[in-house]
Amino acid sequence: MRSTQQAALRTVRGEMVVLEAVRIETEINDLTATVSTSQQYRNPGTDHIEVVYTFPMPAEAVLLDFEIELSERKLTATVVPKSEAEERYEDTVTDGDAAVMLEQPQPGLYTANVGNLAPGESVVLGFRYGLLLRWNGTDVRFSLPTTIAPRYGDPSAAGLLPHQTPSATFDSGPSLDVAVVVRGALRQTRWTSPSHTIAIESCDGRTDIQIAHPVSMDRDIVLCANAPEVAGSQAQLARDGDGWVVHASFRPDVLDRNPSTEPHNFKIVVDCSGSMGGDAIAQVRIAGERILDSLRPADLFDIIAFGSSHRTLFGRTMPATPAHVDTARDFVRGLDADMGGTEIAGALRMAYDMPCETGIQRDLLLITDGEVWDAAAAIDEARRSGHRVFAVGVGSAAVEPFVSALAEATGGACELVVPRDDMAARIHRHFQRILGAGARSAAVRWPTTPSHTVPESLPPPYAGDTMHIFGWFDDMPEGDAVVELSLADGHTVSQRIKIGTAAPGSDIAALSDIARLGAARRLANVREPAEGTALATHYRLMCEWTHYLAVAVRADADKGTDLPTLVKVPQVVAAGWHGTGTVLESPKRVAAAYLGRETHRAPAAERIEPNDRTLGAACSRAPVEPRVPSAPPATPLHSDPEDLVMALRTHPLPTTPIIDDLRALGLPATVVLMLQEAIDDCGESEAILFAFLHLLCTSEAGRVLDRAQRRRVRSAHKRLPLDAAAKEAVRRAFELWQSEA
Amino acid sequence: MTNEDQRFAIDELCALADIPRRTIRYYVQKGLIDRPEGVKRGAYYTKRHLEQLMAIRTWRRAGISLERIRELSTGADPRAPQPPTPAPRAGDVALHTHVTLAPGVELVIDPRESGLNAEAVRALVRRATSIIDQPQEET
Repeated sequence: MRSTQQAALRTVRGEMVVLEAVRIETEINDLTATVSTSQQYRNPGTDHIEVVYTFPMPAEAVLLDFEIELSERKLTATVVPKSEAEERYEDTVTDGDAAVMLEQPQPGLYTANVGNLAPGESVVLGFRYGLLLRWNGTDVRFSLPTTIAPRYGDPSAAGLLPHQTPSATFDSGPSLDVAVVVRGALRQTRWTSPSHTIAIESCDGRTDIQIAHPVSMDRDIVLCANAPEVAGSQAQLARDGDGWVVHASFRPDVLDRNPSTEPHNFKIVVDCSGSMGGDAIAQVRIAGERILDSLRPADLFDIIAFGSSHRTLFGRTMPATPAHVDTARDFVRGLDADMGGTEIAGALRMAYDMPCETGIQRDLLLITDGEVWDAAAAIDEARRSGHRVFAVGVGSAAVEPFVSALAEATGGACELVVPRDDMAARIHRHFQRILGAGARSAAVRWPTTPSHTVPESLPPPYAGDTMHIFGWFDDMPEGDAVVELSLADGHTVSQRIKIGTAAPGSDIAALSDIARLGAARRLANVREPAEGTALATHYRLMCEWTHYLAVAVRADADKGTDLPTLVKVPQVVAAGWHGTGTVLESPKRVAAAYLGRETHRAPAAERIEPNDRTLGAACSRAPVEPRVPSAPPATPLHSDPEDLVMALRTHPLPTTPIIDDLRALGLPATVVLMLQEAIDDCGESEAILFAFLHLLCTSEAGRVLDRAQRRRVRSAHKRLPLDAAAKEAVRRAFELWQSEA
Repeated sequence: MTNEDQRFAIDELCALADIPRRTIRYYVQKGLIDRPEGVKRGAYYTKRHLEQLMAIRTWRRAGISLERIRELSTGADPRAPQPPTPAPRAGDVALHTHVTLAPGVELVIDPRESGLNAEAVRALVRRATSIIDQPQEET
């Protein structure tokens, strides 16, 4: 037996490899993403096996269909109350028949169980799920987790049974194929990926995004669309049985954008546990510096670093004077992933209780990979803390369900930032939310009274963020949905959204995807098991009270034993987790590049580049040079114009510069922020940067820049015109820089 | 029938030990407890299985991993309480061989624990170095 089993592929730890391939096909239509994933398993051994695989999905994903192909046979899985599903699964396996059960042990975590897979037999599990995307300013971000990074703490405390607990491997995992099709409003926008090399092709009313091979299941797949021209609000109508449902996605962009001048208490909580080693802690240092850059002198702040224990910088919130900010900067630069475990609940509790000025808004900025099992207690405490939590999830596979739930429970917001993302822009977005005057409250007026809505009442929205609202009606609603916002200054602003018509062919019997996506949100608020089970089975949804189940009775000769050999499919260790390799560029090379010692680009084999132009100019519509992700130690932190010109002489900018390139050369943060704001306002990143560089070239300092670079800047500036307001903003940023120098 | 011979169906065992049916089967698959007597729906459990489950629960509450419990329970007497592996203490001395394979890449070998002889270590280093020397595949 041993000799035949040796033929089967095995992991480093000697486990049999049964998950052979994963294919993910995604269609993005406006703000609705439909993701079809197929997992192909085969039993290469000589005994019957039971395959168990715990895998992640986005926290807000709603599983719409689950199909199974066992050898050539299609099985229909149904949503069954949990205890009944478990009983039937156990009985079926005990009888030697085949059974497939899908469990959802936690939001965003699924466990597939395939009982009694015969030797040589294959099974394909097909999942189709829906995901509502959100605007973040003028960007839309689509993010798919592919692996579960090892987490701190006891999974059983989080309610996971031993078979559901994921394990990790350093093997490369199954082959992964990813294809994305974009239709609708986001089709003609600029798509980029901070996580992968992508190629883009548009034809026949669709845009295809291909991810270059090989794709490893060791990091989130992140795609971003920048679409300042697309309307942020829309509403669609669909059937729900014999009734109707409207899904309105609403992005308030009429709010007063003048930032509040009131001071805030900022409690900055940073994760320095071992799992943050490598990329994540590098991101923490960047985030910390950007936060410090954003503080205003009247604000109060303190920093809490945590691992197994926690330590604070001041012990109470202190005014953001230049001296205090400088002390904090030293503290942030000295942070390392050397504080052991991830006792996040204790650190947050300490932060809530920390003495601070009373009568001033208390906001908590949390930077973490969120890799803990016991999240529920921390979320509950956060809800009662009286603080808004603004979370920054870092690393290649941050635990999105935890960080986003923590932020949402407190009325804050969450930004997930993968290692090659633009951290400054994301911190800037958080500060726009924190300091924006915003709306005090929001309400929807429907054309007719709905039987119910989700959410029942709207939380105060942040400008630029999306709210998804569902309303159910007995009769078809006709007209507009009107969202009314009460602003802080006492004014009321209303925004009208036309309700579209239902898709043709929608019949009464069918449950539309929109109805089921809405029902899933209703279900999330239900606490009563009987009510939840009824709602979930009616809409065919998974929840804490239901599983998906399919059984296949085998012929007597094909029956397995009552105790198949267990094969758990391990998780591929997340890229850069615990300092195991890096996704960021080698710090050595960044430093060398800055010092002008590296004149050629590294060979492709050495790095993964977002939007690699070697994929073909026709494919890549918007090529972007690789970003310089973090400032090397040798970088001057506050360059004046002369310093920057000297740096440019040894380290010319890439063809399409981004704001990070100037920051890496030491452009002061205040100037970077002003330029970023100008970019946010007009959406013309390249034009703003070349306008700024043009001012530099024509200034006294710019005279020593070589002629070729000056010519390049002049021609790009001429080619990329700006309106008067943007020109003025660039001029102000440049003058501020000169005056500071 | 004596107390020792008492038979439990799986559902009875679940109720007595307060452990889900799936978890009991998982423990059997992982070799943490003995297989039941009989097969398929005729399978039954005895007091011995119940005691094994109770022992696992005690170990779990003490924070010991299932992996370690399995190592402990495959000893001579699975029910005899055994201490977990002592953590390294001050004064413990361990000698490790560090072999540099390439700048920034090091192989650490505990000669006693690994049981590798000099020839095996040389072969390992040769192979590991040749892997690093190979032109790296595109990642």
